[in-house]
Amino acid sequence: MDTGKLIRSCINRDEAAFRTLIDSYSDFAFSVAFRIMNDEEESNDIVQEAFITVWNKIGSFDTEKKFSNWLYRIIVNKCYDALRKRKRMQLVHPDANNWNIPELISESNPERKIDNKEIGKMIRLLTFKLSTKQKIVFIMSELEGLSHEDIAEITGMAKTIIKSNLNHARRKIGEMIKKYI
Amino acid sequence: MNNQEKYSKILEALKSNKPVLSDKEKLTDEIMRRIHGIEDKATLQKKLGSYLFGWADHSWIRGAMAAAAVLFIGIFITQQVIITNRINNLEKQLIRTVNTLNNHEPDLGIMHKVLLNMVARDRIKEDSITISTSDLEELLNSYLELQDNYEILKQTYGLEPYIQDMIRRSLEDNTNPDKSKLKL
Repeated sequence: MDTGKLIRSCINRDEAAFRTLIDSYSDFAFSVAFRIMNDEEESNDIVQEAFITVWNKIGSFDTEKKFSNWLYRIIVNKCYDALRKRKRMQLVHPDANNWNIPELISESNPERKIDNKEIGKMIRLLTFKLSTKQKIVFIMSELEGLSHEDIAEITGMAKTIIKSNLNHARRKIGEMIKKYI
Repeated sequence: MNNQEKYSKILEALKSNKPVLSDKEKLTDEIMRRIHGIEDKATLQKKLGSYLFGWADHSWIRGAMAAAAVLFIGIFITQQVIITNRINNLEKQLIRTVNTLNNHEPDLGIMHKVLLNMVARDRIKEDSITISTSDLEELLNSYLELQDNYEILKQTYGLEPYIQDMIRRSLEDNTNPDKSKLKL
């Protein structure tokens, strides 16, 4: 069943269709949430909350628009809230860790798969000095491969702000690579 | 490897290695369970609402209640109109009494006329004091009584012609609005 039909069925409160929708988009949703949060448990919670929001608000979804962008927006908003709460918690400084990143990107073993824990560590190190906005823009643009138009639609930011945040993010990540990798 | 190469390598590694959802089935079940919880709660609220206010679903009850509400509003408005009219009538009655007395110009002497003029003038002033008909009557009666006493006194003992003349002139002066005091 294509996404449009699934969504129409979900609007009619068809739970089986919604289960299929979750199966189709949960990997994508988890990937986005994890890249932003770098924590499996928190990402799982965000994915759950995001799909519950989808179920509750699906009636207001414009079926002419891309569902993935709408889901992105819900996930990003949930991540924003979670990161804001997390700001109050003690963060581990990069100096206090042994990162082993050169080993992960070595050319000797290009086929080596990186697990969630290592992905989380790498992103955490690279984005340590970034603000929440810069981190989200960097992940959506560089890792998710979204266009600036899509990022603007999802986050509501102007394209100039997206470009500026991305430049800042690249510069700060360059500094982190120089220092730690 | 320089910084740019490292940056590209890291990005490449992160892009090609997507985070993997470990237990998809469990996550889906958990979401469905929570949705059922929400639905059940919503159903319970609906049932409670239906139990408490279900009687309002009958069209004849709704119609009767609407009619009662309209009736109450109508009664309230009528009552307000009646009360306002009665207040207006009372005010008009008082003014009419004063005006009638003033226009009648009974032969009560110059002081009586001045008093009526004062009362009639005060009505139209912003800081005027409204006096009831009974109070006005009492005041006039007192004045007439006082005047009678004065006449009796005058007849009994008589007054010197120059004193009578002075009083008469003073009373006549009092009709002039520019003069506020008696010059005895």
